[in-house]
Amino acid sequence: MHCNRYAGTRHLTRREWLGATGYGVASAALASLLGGGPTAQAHHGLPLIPHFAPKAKRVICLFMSGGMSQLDSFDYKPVLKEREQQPLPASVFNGRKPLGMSKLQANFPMQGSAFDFKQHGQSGAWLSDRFPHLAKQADRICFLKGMVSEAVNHDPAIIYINSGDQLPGRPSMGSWISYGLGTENENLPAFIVLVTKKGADQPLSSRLWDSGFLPSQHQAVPFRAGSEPVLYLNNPPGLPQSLHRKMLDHLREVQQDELARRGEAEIEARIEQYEMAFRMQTSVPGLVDVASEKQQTLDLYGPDVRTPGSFAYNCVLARRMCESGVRFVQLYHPGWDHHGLLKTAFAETSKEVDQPAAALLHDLSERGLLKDTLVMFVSEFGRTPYSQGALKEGGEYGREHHRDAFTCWLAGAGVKTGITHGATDDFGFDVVEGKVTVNDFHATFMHLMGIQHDRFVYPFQGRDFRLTDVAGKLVKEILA
Amino acid sequence: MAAILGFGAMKSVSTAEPSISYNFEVRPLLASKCFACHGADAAKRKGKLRLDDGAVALEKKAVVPGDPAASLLLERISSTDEDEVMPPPEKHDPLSDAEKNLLRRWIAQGAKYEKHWAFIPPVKPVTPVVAGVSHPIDAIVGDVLAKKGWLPAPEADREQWLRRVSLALTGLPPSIQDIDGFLADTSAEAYERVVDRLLKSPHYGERMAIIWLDAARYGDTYGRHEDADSEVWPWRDWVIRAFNENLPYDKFIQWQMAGDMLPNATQDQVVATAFHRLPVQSNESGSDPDEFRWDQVFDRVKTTSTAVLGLTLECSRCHDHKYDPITRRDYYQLAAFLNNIDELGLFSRFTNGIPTPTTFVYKEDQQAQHQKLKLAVEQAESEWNSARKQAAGRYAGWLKGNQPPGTGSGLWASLSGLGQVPRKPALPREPELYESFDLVDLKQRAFLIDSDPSVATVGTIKTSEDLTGKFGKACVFPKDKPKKYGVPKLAHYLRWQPFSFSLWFRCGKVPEKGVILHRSRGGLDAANRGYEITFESGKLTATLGHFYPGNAIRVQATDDLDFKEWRQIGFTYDGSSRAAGMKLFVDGKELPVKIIRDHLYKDIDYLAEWGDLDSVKVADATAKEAIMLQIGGRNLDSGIRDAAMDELRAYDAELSTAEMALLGGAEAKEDNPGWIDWYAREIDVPAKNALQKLTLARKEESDFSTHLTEMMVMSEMKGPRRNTPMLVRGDFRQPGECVQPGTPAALLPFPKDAPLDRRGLAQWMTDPQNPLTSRVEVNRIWAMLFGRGLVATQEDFGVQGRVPSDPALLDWLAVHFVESGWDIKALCREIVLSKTYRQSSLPFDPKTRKDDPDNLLLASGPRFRLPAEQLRDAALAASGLINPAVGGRSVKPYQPAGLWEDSGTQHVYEQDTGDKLYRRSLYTFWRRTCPPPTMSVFDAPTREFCLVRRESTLTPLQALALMDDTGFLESARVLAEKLVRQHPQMAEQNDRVEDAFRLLTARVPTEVQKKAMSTLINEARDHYTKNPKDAATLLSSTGASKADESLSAVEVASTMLMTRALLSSDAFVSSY
Repeated sequence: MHCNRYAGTRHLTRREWLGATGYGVASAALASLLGGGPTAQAHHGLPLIPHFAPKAKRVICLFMSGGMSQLDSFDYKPVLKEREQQPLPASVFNGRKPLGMSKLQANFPMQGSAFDFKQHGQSGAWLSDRFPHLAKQADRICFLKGMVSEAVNHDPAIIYINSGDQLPGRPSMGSWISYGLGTENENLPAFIVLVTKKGADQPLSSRLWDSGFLPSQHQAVPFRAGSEPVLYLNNPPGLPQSLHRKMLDHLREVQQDELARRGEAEIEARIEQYEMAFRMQTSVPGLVDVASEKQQTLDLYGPDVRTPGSFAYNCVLARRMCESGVRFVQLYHPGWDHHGLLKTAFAETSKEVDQPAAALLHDLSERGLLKDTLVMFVSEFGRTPYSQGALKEGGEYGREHHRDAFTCWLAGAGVKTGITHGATDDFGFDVVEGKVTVNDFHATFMHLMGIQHDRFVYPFQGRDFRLTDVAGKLVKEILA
Repeated sequence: MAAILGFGAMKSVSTAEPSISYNFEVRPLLASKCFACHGADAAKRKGKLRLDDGAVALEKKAVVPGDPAASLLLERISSTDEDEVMPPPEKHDPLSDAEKNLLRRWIAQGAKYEKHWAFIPPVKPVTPVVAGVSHPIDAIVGDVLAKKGWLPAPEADREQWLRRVSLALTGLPPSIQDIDGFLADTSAEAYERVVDRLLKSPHYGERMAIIWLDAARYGDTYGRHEDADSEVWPWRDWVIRAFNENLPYDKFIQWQMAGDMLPNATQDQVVATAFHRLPVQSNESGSDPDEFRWDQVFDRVKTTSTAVLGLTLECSRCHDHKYDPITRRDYYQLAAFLNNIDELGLFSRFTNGIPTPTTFVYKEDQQAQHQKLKLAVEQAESEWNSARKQAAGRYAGWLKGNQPPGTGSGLWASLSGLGQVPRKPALPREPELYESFDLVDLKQRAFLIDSDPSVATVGTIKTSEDLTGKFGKACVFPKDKPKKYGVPKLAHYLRWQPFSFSLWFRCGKVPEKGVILHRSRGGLDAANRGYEITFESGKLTATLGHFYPGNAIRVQATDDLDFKEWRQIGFTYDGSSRAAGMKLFVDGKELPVKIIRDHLYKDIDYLAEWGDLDSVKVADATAKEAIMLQIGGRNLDSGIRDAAMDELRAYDAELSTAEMALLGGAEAKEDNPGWIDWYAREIDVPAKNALQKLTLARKEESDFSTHLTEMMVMSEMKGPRRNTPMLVRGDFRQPGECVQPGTPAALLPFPKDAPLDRRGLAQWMTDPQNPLTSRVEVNRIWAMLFGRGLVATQEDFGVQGRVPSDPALLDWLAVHFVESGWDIKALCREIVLSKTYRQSSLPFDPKTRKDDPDNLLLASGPRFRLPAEQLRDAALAASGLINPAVGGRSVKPYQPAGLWEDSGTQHVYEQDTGDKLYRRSLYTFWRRTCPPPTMSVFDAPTREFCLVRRESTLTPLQALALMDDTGFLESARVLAEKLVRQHPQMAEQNDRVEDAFRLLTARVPTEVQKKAMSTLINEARDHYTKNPKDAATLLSSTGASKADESLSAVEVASTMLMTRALLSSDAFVSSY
């Protein structure tokens, strides 16, 4: 563990830590920053990381917020249809009490999916008919059907899968990556979040992409739909860029005079910080200019692609960010919390996601980016095989949160293509093989990025913290 | 390394071989390399060897004092055998030669173990004698420097010190008058005068509060899930007041720990305990209250230990602390102190109810008024009691010519068994609501209400259902599917009103949990606002609640009941807000009940004033779910199944036992004592008047309490303490052995005379012998003033924390602080007036910076970037926009549009207007799931959990915020207006630059800087002269305050470019 190279104690302040590890800073002068002082933003990662040659240079994480039903998407369970409305056998519960809202339920009728399932591609992966586009990409995908979580409420579960802990305060996975690997593009943040602009059914708090106890520069920069993609990016109206540049130049004169007299590295760092800000101001508008894409490409992503803030739009942005060297792009798409009216609502939400997600895989692959980009398709938990409440008119039903089995998938760098890892029982209730915990999932994606999860720690409050907490096992079976 | 050198120097050892400090040299090394397997954690211990415990190490011959060669520790760390060498090669963490040598020399010197430095009570060191230095702080620092052969830095320029100290103590920069006044004051007391002025300023308390708000994880919202507003700002006001009034630190802690338990606790003392109610809370449907209640307790332990004791105890939740002498039992013993309030662990989804326990925060004479109203209720109660007694005497006389209704023949007799179906409700009391379930509107597929057939009960009836009732038809709740009916408009009863229910009921099997009737908005997590008759744990239960459990009354039948056949259920309530005023009946007979909760002090209604109706827009609160009497079930709760209900009656009076007997089909002859109650209520004029007066008095008290500010605080549960089991792996589902409250013995024994509750905990924490509390606080103040603590890890004074950079200085300050009576103002005064603080931030010899980049030896004054709040406040102050009002509700200044709206928390940011936009930053509304971005970008925490040390980062986003946030732009513009107003001529342009510099940085610019800024103004003027529209646009689009149209827009816009630049300059954003 590299932190131990520093004699005396493991518990350092961040500054000491930087000094001890030779933290990559933009300018040599910054190495002698004064007490509690700043460091430059362009951070190229920790010296010992990656621990070994990475397969993935960057990540696009498509986060399906609300708890996507595995039983209506990728985990085909014909038994539920065959025995629909019969009670889920007590043996399946195996002594466990139903959780969440369904703990008040008197009986637990099995609920088949309203959607048809078919096998696709050479791999014969099962997908429901709500994912016709992804179905065509089936051979690029590695399904993880044995995902399990520990939390059954949204707030704890969504923090858990993003940070490895159910309580707020830990760094998110993107922050860890930003901190460990740094950025490849000095003009852009290493970790960017894009949230689909639509009425969210479950809250998406900024803590999901927070840096926790890591230095706050590693928190995600959310890019927002609209004329100002990054907070405070635009100069006020009436202040043209040319005049703004002049202001910066004269400000630089003021600061350089200060630097000449005082010789303090902070001043130099601040001068550089303003230049970086200026470069961001000039580079971001181009980055988010989706209209500059070829018509043919845009068509791939479907009709929503021209609506800023749509999932399709964000998928194109994610690809562009990857091309620009952004390390970790995370897309949040709400709308999966289907306690009722699943048949209608699931169809709507999956339609928003299916084509853009498929197009993203295709597009990345066409451009040769998929070989070193890891695409993750994740939700915070799954849904129950029994219906929440009774079957309603029009074949409508709902499903409660379920933590003991759900499906995520990976595609791209270093991951076996066209496979399914893990399986659930006949009811989709429990994992019977290939169980992947949240910690295992983190350990595995970090491995793909060249990081050995149990050697990547941050000393804080007397303990070495890591994304995988005190657990996490590499899922070797899915590595290409 | 510097720390170790510093300490070594302090020891003034004259021998060639300096003595090795176990605490400051050996222990940190062992802790980092060995304790993980040979430390306090028995589960992880290898070879039964402890190196942290001298006795064990000695016994195992790991160390043989004075004989390195015989010490197994030395043998193993020096071994070249892969199987023998320690630490094991697979740890990839070998010892360096220097480290091995250190251990060897330590053993040679006798291998003396010491208790961890921070667990030994501080002793005031002898102040060294240093020439030309009188103050102990300077003497201690000077001695270290002298031994190193370094000189202290020269004294900072007066302006620089003035800005530094003004920001440090009030968070605001000095005005030009302040600067000129100080420069002109050449007296010996000039510095002291400034400090005394600053300490007297009400802004001192505001500045100090911010550090404590971080530690106490203060936010304006609950923090999880839908993250509703939590209204805890009165606590923030108290913190500000406490600092301004210079409440001694021991009291400051005692009040927050246990102010509610102090004798004759004042409102401030109770309000202070909100400290323990600030952990984040959730309101997600289906949350397990036990899980979330434990989270509250865990967070209290974490925050208390981190903020006050500088200890991190989190690991002991699951296992003994690996490094510090804190066992798992210690952890749960501490938790037991903080686990004894009547809380739910969740906030409400359907109301804005304040999670219990709470207190009213009275303003002005509200407390006296409230007291008066409560006395009036007591008075009216006693009058009603005596009137009723007198009425009893008159009842016998009345009987001579009269007969209570229902005791003879007629409708009431029919009810009691003659089998006729009464269509019309009858005497002795008209029900407000009568529902026979006999009238069905087949078109609407709904029941009609007998007492007003134009009103249909909401719900659908299947014609196939068997609707046979006790009398005529009944309302049926099928087995397979939950069903519920709403009864609009009627039976809207409040806590001051007497009311009653009667209904007939049948069900196959009594459910564990099931709603018979209620008037509320939702189950599970609604905190039970309203009234309800339910089955809880299979027992008939009645509840009136404002926020369950702490603000509610609940009674529960003690017996299990069978409803296989039709039986009547009755409920009466006397309007007293007391559990004793609630009665349950079956078949007309009163049931023995157990009181489950007996503390109702706020109304059971849903009010817009409380924000219940519109603050959180809940998707399922459709018109259909609007608040009304509902039978058979409730949104997000279990209803009743395989059941039926008939003859539902609601009365706006407390029915007597005689009336209830009749309704239950039992007899009630005229000698039934219940008729006396009926007589007093309905017939006897003096008693009727007394009851009316009582009801009015109760209403007045209730109405008054409706408008009071209410806030979460601590309040012990009545009766025996709640059990605190040690949770296996910290999991609430796995309770183990129960523990009593207690404090970690290794730190300081629990005071013998202290009570074993939060008061005792507070006493233990603030005992002068407590080794941590005073050190942690002086370190916090030091860090605030110097940008870095003497112990750099302010959050961890334990074995894994950093050792103090100057232990003597830390201990001198700690002891001195306690001796001064925990006087925080005196401590601040002492430090900021010291030569050490008054040094320039540039060291005497720039090269020393290389040897000591963190300035551990204090060879120069502090330098750091201003905290987020100070940046914004300084800009507001310089422009003159600042609103200096102290205290009060949080405000919503400028924030980029859509941040809250896009977050899915269903909150709309309604930006404030007028002078609320310019209040100091500590009043900015803090939504914990989406904190104010101008604060976050400058490293302010989210306030979701305790944080005692902010990072200081430097990112381009900060540059963007300083240059383009509306608030900073408005300050730049208004400052520019001020400058142009004062120096209207172009020839005075340099004066504008100079004034801007002085306002923003407290000093005058150099010629080069003046020229640079002047050139900027000229270039901007060129642009705006050519493009006057741009100037107008710029001025009108930067904030809500109106642009001064009497000034030249071109001049203001050009000058604004200069002020905008300076707001970004290092000299503005830093304190040095």
